[in-house]
Amino acid sequence: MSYLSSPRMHFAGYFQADVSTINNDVRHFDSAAFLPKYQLPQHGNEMNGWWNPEGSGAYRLVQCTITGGVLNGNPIATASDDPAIGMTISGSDGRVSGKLVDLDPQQQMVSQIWGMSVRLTDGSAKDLFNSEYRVAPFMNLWRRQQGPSQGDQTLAAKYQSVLENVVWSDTLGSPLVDAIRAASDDGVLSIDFNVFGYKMDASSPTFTLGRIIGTIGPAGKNDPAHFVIGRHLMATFAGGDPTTPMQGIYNLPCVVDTDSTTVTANLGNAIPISNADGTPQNLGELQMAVLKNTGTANGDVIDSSEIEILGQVPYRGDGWYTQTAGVIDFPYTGNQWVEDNIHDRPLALVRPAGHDDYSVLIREGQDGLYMRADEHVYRLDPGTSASVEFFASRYGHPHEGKIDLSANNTMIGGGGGPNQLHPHVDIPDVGDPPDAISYPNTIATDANGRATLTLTASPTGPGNPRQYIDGQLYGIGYSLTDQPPGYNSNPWLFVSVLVWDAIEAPDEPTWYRDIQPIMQQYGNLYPIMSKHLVDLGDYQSVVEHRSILKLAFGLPVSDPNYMPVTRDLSSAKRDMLLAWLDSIGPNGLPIKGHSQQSGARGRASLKAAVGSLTESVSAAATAGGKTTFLENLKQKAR
Amino acid sequence: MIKLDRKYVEQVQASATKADLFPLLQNAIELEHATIPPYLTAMFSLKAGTNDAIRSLIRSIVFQEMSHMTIAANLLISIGGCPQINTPDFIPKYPGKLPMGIGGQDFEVPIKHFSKELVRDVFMVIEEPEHPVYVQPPEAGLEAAQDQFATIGEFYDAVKQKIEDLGDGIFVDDPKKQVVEWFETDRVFPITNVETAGKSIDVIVVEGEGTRTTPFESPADPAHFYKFSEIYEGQRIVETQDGFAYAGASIPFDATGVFPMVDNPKVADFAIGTAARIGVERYAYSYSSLLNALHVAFNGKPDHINTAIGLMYSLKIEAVNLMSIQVGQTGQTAGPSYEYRNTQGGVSAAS
Repeated sequence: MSYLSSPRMHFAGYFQADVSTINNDVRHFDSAAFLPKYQLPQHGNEMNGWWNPEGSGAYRLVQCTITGGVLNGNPIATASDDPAIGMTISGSDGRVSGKLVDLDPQQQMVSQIWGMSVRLTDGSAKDLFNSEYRVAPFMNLWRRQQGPSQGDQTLAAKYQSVLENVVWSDTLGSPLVDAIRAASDDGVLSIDFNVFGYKMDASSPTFTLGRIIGTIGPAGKNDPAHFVIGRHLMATFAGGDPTTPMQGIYNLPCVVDTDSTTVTANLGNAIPISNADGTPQNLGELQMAVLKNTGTANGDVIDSSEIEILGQVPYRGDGWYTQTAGVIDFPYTGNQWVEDNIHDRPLALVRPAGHDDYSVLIREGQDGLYMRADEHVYRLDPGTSASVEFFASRYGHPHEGKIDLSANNTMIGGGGGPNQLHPHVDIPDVGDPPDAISYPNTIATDANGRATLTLTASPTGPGNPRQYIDGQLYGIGYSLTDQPPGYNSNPWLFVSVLVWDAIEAPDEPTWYRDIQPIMQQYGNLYPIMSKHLVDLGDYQSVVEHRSILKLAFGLPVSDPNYMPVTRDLSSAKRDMLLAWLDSIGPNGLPIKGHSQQSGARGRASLKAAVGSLTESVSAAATAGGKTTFLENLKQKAR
Repeated sequence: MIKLDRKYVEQVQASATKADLFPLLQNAIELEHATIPPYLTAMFSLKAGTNDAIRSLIRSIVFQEMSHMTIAANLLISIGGCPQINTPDFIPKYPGKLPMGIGGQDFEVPIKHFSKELVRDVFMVIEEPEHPVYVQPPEAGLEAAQDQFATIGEFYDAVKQKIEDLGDGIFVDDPKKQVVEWFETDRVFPITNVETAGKSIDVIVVEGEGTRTTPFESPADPAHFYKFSEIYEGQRIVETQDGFAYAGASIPFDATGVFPMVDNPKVADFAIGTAARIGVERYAYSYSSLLNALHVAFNGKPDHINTAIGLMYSLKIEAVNLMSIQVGQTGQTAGPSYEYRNTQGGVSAAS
């Protein structure tokens, strides 16, 4: 059960991601080499603090309304069909907005939304429901916008998660919302949304805003929260570039409901768009189909004897994407061949190619196999463990098999800008030392297709290998051992782990020795805070605001007011900071200690370390953080 | 002039039961809140790194107004009432009259960027004490209050007297529902009886008006009226041989350190699809969220004040953001609006 079930409702509108961009460049974490100009906006080819140095981290749902839905298999499109149509999906109206947070400057491809409420309101004081969005990163990033960019991020992605702690109004007044509530386990909902058209041009009225189109439906408590157990159509990528599917259509999930004899497909992040408004690019007629021959590959041209057509994708119709979020039902009732064979033949999206032929644009993974980790972003303190839940399926049914696990750092690391910095700062390596994290080489899924992987961070931590930035990053790749050769895997499917450094906190931490180095880095990277609220690098300002800092640093990490917004402070350092805020020195305030030469950690030795930068500013300089991060990865791969 | 319609004092005096006091204390909460948006906006309009002394004085006043609002709410809670904070009518219309006829029929309070004229013509009028202490050399000849008007001080004195008359029996024994965190314990404390109620009322009156003999509510800390007058005169008040005088440290004003925001910004003033519209809707929504959070805090969940504080910090950032958005050709910028909003939009015409 998921957002792909019927009943479901669709919404469309805008999101704001007021991300801070100084931390897009890992080298800006080196406080000893930090220059004031890194807090200024990008100017021409001078990157400075990139395109939004005063970002607050806020993530908001703006002007999102319910645009459509499906109830009892029937589409709902207007308020006369159901009063929920036209209602608002919004964030909290009783606390600050959610936050968008990168795992690390060297892993910017799993940005998570933290502390976001999601509520459905009729615009008066009445919320039909209020809920908490479970932390989740974006997934399936690809270059979706094909037309020219007008300051837009042409990369697009999707988020899938669950809405928890759902509080329902006693009377909903909407049969659609009533049905979704009734279908959900324990009042948990499933939510999926596509994001695109994000504006990075500070002169645009919609700067820091992008488009969001998604779906909310019932959730099952035993189902994965962040993907659908179903039938996954998997693209082929040329030259390892995960953002450019060879046949132009990106990965899409489907579910087959044999009771209602319906295939439901989510094309919401699959069809390219021609502009930032999300107008689907015209690819000609697209049809959903079942392949008769399991060996048919992406890009093949086959004739009608090798395919059973389920129906057309009406993606070129006015308002189709907005009203359906790209989720579409294909009933196959009465088609005996499909009824008899859909359980072990691949689904595919095809395009008529003249005569009796069809081009296969994207098909279900070979052998119907699909396996992934539900959550795949972890922050670990030294000596702690995390459990990663895996689910494997074959043609949508639980699959018993073995999962191979190994280090895979190809999609993490880098994280420098396209320019030289003066003074020079090296970009740290990632994944080293490898033994700071341990996990088995193989795990097995059970009869339910499930397996649990335990990740353990060593008690001694990685040992500050990145020097000017805490901890170390590890990528963990995974695959099914029985996956056939040439399997179209998704390059974004790996686990990202940040293991923090172990520290020995002194009994009496002092500002200069222990606290200032931590706070100065935040002060440098988040000037919106330092300029307008608390100057985090300044003892006087920090002690003046110690009550509020104690509150913010002491909150649960899930709270939207939690500090640091970036959630990149280890428990040990946070405890030290809180202890220091409580301490009383000779002046009656937290202990100041004695000034030391800041940055006295031997710059010369760092300079000698490995790593070099591109010499000139590339086109990526104007293309935004995600694009630049990708360019870096590609460069690294060469 | 810190005058209010005398009928409110008379209503307090005529109250027969504690329930009769509920709407009057609700009025007091609304009154204490009503000055926060104009003061806050003036403070936000001071650019970072400039006008630090002025900012610091206004901040101290805003903080005290917040604590006065809290005290008024605690008073209402202490006798069994329920503060109503998150209704659209809770926020006064700006420009417009303050609650309870404060300042008289012709006195309107706007939302404007900081200026000395705003301080003199609005803020000092709001805060003017019943019996101002002469400070040399201000403009002479402060008028006496007219008969049909009472003062805020008189209103609170009447409340204090009425509570004394009604006695300790009106207090409900549930002080844990009151919001006391984040304030000095000698200013905001649980109100449980006539004595603590009286002390709390004194805090509001003295911090707002000072006393009849000194502008200082505590050593070196003038009451609101005198702080604003210090800002206007550009110098701190000190006590001299000849009495009080604007002869202390200078309070410099840098007129270039003020965002030139438009007067009385409203959501509807800005075209849909502009950065200003999107920003001002966001601000109004956040301000409404703050009132929602405060409503929760004052209605049984005092710990929720922490959530409200997060919103206060967020508002500061959103205000600065708004005040850097140019509107029109005149170099003016957008600014915050205080309107109750349940949702935020403004990006495009609703679909």
